[in-house]
Amino acid sequence: MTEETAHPSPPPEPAAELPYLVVALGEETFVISLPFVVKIINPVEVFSLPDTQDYLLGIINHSGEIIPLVDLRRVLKLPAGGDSDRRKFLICRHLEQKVAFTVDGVVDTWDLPPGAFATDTTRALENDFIAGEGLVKGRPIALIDIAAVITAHQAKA
Amino acid sequence: MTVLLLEYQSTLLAIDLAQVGRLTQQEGISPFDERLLFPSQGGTTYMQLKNDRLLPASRVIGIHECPAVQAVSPFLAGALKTNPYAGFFHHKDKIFGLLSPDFLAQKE
Repeated sequence: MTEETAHPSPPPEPAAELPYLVVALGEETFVISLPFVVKIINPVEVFSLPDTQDYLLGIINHSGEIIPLVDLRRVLKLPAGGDSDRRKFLICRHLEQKVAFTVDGVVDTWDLPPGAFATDTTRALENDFIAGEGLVKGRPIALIDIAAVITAHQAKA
Repeated sequence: MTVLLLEYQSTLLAIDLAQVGRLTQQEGISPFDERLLFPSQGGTTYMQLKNDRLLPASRVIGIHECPAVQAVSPFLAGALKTNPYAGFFHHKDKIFGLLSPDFLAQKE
């Protein structure tokens, strides 16, 4: 029987940081995982449709592609707010579906370490579309789960 | 596919022209379909379909050779309480909803 020599294991490499888009909705700041965001555009003409759920603002034409536009405040059950001159449309994609969301402003992009958001907060547990919360750069931030928003609002097959 | 473009209550719609029999301006016809939540209004142009159903329009825009229609995505279908659309297409910077054959085939 041979004895194995014990080698000290190398220190673990720090986990890669993840990119987020920081957006404003009313007085609050949220982040969205950046890979979901295809494009950020200025508001364009919205074509409303009759007899829809209240979160659907209508459909937009983006480079020839027709994309539903969603009021992210309503999805997250945030208080309605006034128009912001910093308002943007975020075109997001999940599983080949594109959906545009309104936000009151795009603040920044941040790279944050995994675990920056606690998933066991009351808000994260009670709201299906908030994946976690954290105190980042001195601000309370909530992480919006765009995949859950898109998946949960699809027509049932 | 050649389609008839029309507007009703600010919604832009298109109908396969092959489904349209004639246009009429009959008055006193009750609203055709509450599922679209279009309230009744006077002074409407009615399209009489080949199955005799009447569809109202606030304005008939014209006839257009319809390009590729983008299907209704599962997300958009989930946001529509009723879905009379086969899909959507854009024409002259506007978006039109193409009414589906199933919807047009329904009797009132």
